[in-house]
Amino acid sequence: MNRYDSLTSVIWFLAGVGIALWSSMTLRVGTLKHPGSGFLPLLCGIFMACMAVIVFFQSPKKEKEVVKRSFFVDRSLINISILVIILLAYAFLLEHLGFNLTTFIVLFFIFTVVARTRWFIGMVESLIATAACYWLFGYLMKIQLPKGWLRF
Amino acid sequence: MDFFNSILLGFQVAVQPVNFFLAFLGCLMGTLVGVLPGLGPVAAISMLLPVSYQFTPVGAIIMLAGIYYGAMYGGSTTSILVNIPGESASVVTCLDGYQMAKQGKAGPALAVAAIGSFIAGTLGIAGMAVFSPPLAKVALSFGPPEYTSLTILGFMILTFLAKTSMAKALLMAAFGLFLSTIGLDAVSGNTRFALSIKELFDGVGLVPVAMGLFGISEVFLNLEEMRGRQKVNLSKILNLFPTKEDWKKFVPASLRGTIIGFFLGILPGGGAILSSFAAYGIEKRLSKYPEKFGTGVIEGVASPEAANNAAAQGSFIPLMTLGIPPNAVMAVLLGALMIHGITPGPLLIKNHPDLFWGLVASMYMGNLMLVILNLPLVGIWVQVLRIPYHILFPLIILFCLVGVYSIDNSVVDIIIMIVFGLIGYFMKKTDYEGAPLILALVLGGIFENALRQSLMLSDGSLTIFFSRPISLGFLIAAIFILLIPFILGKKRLALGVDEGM
Repeated sequence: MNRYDSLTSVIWFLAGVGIALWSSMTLRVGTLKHPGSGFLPLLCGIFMACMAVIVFFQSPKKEKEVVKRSFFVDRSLINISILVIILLAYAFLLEHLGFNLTTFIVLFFIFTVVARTRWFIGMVESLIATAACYWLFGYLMKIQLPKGWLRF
Repeated sequence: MDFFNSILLGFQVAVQPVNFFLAFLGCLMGTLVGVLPGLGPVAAISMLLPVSYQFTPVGAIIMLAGIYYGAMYGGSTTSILVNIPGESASVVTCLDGYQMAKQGKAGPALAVAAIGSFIAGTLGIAGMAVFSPPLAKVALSFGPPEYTSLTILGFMILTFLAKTSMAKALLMAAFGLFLSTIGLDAVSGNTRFALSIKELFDGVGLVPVAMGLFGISEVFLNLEEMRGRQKVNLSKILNLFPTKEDWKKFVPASLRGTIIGFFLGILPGGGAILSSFAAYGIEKRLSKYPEKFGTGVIEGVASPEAANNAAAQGSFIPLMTLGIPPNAVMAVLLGALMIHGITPGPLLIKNHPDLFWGLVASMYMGNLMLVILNLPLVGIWVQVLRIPYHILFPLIILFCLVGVYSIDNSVVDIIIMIVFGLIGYFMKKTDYEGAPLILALVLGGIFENALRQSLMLSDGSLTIFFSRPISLGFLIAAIFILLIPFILGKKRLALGVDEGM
């Protein structure tokens, strides 16, 4: 068993209860004869909560039963956080700055900040990857990629 | 249409230049994915789903299927040469394959893996062509109660084979079912859990969720190991052809592996990994020298390699005939078919014979292509392993970003992918599996409709599921599977590996 089972089971229990409450309060659950749109989500919520209780009671309670290792390895928390921020920035900038510019900027940050390549090499890699991606998706497959304010 | 004409139709479809090229592309991509550790066929198929929109449904499914069985081939190359299983189904091939390579027999080991896989692939396809039509005929008698029970059985089997806790897997299946209810309710027209985001009215897409759970989360995990990656030491390939003695040993082993793999592949939840482990275990038990297994025995390579390829073919049967995917890869393929407007199930062979038989024939040709791709080009595949991860992962991310955006030109899909990337990362760290979630997300719509229709048909009586023999059979099997851990004294099947990831 995983050492975080107690914690995760509580989170999933709350999620299950939340789903059950959300379903029953905002949707018509109906009856067995005429199940409504909230019927299955309510069942899912209740079932999730029940399974979470089982996981909680199955979780290791003694220290010796678990393999001690830290959740995040070395710089992984920082790397993952930076990467998530960069990816979210991509989602928010894509339609404003356009595909080419946003992709180049985001790749440059990933190469230099997360992958820690030298800035010049990162710039070249980003440029090549952006151009190749545009060629594949935009030119070859004729997918409509956003041009953004700069029409680029 | 008789069997011969069906096969002929299949080859007519498969040899069309576009379909032939797509089969080749799929095999090529599959081999690449199989070679690269940390990128499984589920992620690769999800990533290439948007690309497949450009093609006809037949072409798209031929390419996506090629990725799956191609990955089975590719995985063995790195297992044998560098002791790194590119694909989890090839883990067991490392045991004897790498030992053979260390003894200077890398060439024969690779050849045995490829030829064994080819034998298995060929027989597996023949089995698929023979078993699918009669199974589809039986499935024609299925009504909503049978589909409800069959879906429950599918969930049970997949959760039973979960590598950690069955309760966790069931929890994930319930979460996936909940996700499938987001959006417009087809019966009442009500919007559910869409948070007034209009992109969610059509529901949570399979592609962003699968890409997040299997692609982005894998990148997050690999970032932890990026600095500690080992350098690849390549064994020399001196001679490619097995000796006469080798042939005598590996052909029967391959045939045994094929039979085991094919039938385990058909079972929902079976799949390539279980098959390869089972085939290795049985081969060892049948051997006159079991103590030598693990030291470079040729049967130890041939049998599991044949099994995982036969299982890959076998797992198409429940998808194509019942519309029930037996594993996560098939769940994504089911989603792909549905996106292309095709509902797999008993009527698929009747309504879309070109798709079914075209796929069967393309798989046969694909197996030939893979032998050609894997043996002479083995040096190139190993070079792929030398690409540093700090170059590879930004490209994987870029492909996911563009791929997911191109489905609906929606930024919301990108955000969903990132969110599920994070959820997937935490799930992997805390031993929750993504496969039941994806399966439930794909089957959720079918399950909910079947359940509600059944209840309305029976005036709310649950006996409808127990009074019909086929439905009762499925439920008894599901309950039996649920009780197995208690019957066996709560001992779990310790596979130690995860399907398709």
